[in-house]
Amino acid sequence: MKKRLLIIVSLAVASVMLFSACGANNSGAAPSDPVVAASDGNAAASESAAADSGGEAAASDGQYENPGYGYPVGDFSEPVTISMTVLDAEKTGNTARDKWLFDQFNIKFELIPVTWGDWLEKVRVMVAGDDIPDILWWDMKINHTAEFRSWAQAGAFREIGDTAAYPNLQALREKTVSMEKMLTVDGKLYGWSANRNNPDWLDNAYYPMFAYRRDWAQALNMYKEGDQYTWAEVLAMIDAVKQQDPNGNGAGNTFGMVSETWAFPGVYMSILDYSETQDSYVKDASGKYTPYFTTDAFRQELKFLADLYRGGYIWKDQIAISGSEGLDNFKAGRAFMYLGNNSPDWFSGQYASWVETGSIDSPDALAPMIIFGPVTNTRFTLVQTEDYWTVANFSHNVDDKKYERILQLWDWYASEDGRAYRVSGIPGVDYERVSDTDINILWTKTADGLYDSPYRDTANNFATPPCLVPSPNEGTNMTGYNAFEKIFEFIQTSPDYFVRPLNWDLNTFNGEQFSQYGSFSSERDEFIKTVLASSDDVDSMLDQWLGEMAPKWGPVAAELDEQLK
Amino acid sequence: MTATKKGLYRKEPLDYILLVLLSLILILILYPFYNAVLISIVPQNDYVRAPLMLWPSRVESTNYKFVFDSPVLLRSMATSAVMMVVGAIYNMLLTVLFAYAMTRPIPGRNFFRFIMVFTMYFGGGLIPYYLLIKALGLLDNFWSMVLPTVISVTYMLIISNSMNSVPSELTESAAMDGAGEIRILFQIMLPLLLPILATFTLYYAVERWNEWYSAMLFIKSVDKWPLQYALRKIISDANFISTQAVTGEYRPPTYGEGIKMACIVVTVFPLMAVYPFLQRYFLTGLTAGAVKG
Repeated sequence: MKKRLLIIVSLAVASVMLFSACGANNSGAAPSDPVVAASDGNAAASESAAADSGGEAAASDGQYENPGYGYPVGDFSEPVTISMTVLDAEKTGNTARDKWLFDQFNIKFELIPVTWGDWLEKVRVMVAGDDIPDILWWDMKINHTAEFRSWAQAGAFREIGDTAAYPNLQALREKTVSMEKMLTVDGKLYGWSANRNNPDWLDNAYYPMFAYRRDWAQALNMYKEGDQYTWAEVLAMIDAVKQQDPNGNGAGNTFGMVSETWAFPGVYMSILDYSETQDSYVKDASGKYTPYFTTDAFRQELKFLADLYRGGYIWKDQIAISGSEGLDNFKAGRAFMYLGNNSPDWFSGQYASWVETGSIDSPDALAPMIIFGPVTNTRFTLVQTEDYWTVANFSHNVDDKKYERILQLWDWYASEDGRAYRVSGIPGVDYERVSDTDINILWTKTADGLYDSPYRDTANNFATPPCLVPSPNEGTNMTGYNAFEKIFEFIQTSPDYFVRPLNWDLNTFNGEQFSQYGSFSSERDEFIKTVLASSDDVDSMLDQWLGEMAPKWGPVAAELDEQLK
Repeated sequence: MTATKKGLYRKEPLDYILLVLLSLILILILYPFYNAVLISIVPQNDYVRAPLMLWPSRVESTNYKFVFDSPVLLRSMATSAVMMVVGAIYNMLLTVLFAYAMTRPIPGRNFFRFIMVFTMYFGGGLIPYYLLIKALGLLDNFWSMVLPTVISVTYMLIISNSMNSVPSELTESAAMDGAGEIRILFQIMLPLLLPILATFTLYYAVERWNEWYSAMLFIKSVDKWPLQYALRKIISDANFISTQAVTGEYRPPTYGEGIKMACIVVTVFPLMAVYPFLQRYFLTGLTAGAVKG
């Protein structure tokens, strides 16, 4: 009897422990993947293309004269093997398009696979172990500048010298600020940043866009032409959506805003208009550097966000989710708005899958949304980002022959012929040229009018290092771009479109304290989440936290005052 | 009947409470696996509307199609299978040899034991580890995923203790009959320790099957990826496609959670298939040394 009782008690205790373990916060969640796509949707209009390396000319009768278009020109008689880190290595290098390129340049690639989850870790180990491939292609961001410079100074990389002989590369070099501000060490260029090729009017703004259920807004008679709203209108729509449940989810089963994990909470605050700058350190009234989170603007942003979250406008679980749960809920019709990296290309992809799965009847039901800042109610604020996507470095072991071949290849990639190749493929097979800047893609089309690409689900990331392909282009599914028509019109014409400029000098500053501690962004984000999850007064919580943080940021600010004039 | 009621199998009220409690715990343990299978086969909308399911309202195979369409899956499965078999044999062989040596009166035994235990608490660091593998010429080599994980000190100590519990008369009489150490180990000692050997072989096999970190660090060719690393990539692809930009090409709809669960099923299934055959040894092995006498 006693023994059985003991067993029952033990099992009960074990069960309680099991339940409590199940309920524990998932604080050790896997790092989220980076968020920028190779074919960056920010690029919304094709700029004048780079100079054509083939020297072809358009014929007056509309027929393109030069049958040799699309082929690289140069002496590639000696074979060269290049090793390179690439994403999607398993999908790379096996197509007819890839083989054509390898034949043209007499080049062979040894692809070293990296994935989003381990890219940086692998790069660090390779550099530390002096085991760098010929081209080290990686997801370098501006906050890696100090690390990059220390590697360059240690002799890990070969300098990229004069590029005047490569006109397309030279043009990119001249327009890419990051090469000078970030990748030049002691007057020498040690890396090549892949210019995003964004249109000028976008000003390299990073625009995390809300996607929303336009059909619900229409059903509630709250839709505004152009999809441009104030925060008051958005909150009123969310209240109405929750109350009237247009999707029939049942009481309490429809959320207002959901987002990608990386977008919460920072991006919600970045689109508010309480300040002209959100640099990690700003100068106070006395001209001394202080962290942005000590400013009154940050306090206002925090209060605004706390009101959204505590008021139930943001999905309660957003604070703890991982993976794609935000988008899953939006797709399942359980959320009204979704904040993510919602570029025109993203919308194009979503439209196809949403219609196919029956989530919406037509693309019109889903749309991007502009929300004007809560202070002005007219201003749409975005943040400028780096002018590139990724960075490539040459190993210090790269000899002249390889170096020259890589630059020849990259220069061609950056040319109009290279652009045509990257958009479609082999000249005469995948496309035909119709003018100096336009091609006609020869692939068949699906019933939806989309190209049935023979290269679907393959990748050619070895083409990315010199620059991204301008988008939209001849191969682009335009559905998403069409949805952005009014928004792009606003961005291009309205004085109320405002981009907070990227502070290159601050972000590439490599003082010892700054490099080690930075802007305490992870502590700040944790604190913001603590505030949101609490019901205490925001002001007093912030005051207390600022008191705790002051000894930490003090030395960093002092270093900036001393060294960053 | 009377014997059952009054004898050993007589049920008392507390037995029923125990039964209910154990059944609940069984459900708690089994349900997550069951739900993972369901999530992997239902459409995204069904999953989001009811993440905890008892029965699938609709069934589809798109998640498994996405997983099995991967160009690396089957090859990586083969790599992991070879790694599991070769690695488990290699690990067990060295573990058993070391464990046996620790039971013999050899000079410096305590020193070697200390050196071994030291590695449980202190490592050389990632970069020196990478440099060592590079110096050994094992970069981008299948053996870089097998050789460095020589033995688990914990398993070695447990096996060594089990060997100590074998009556010394057995080994001594074998030695008197002319048996050498190798013969004593393989023909006298190990047959007596089969349950514990089976248990740790399974443990090693699971560890090798789940290997991905060495692959991430040292492997530079896709065709040498083990299964776990390939699945990690497949899940990453699925999340990327579902949340990031998709260009002009058409892509089938995917949802990350479903593919993640399909990957879990694909990973766990082979182990679950093997487990029943080892269960008999496994239970005995787990309780080996638990009681004296």
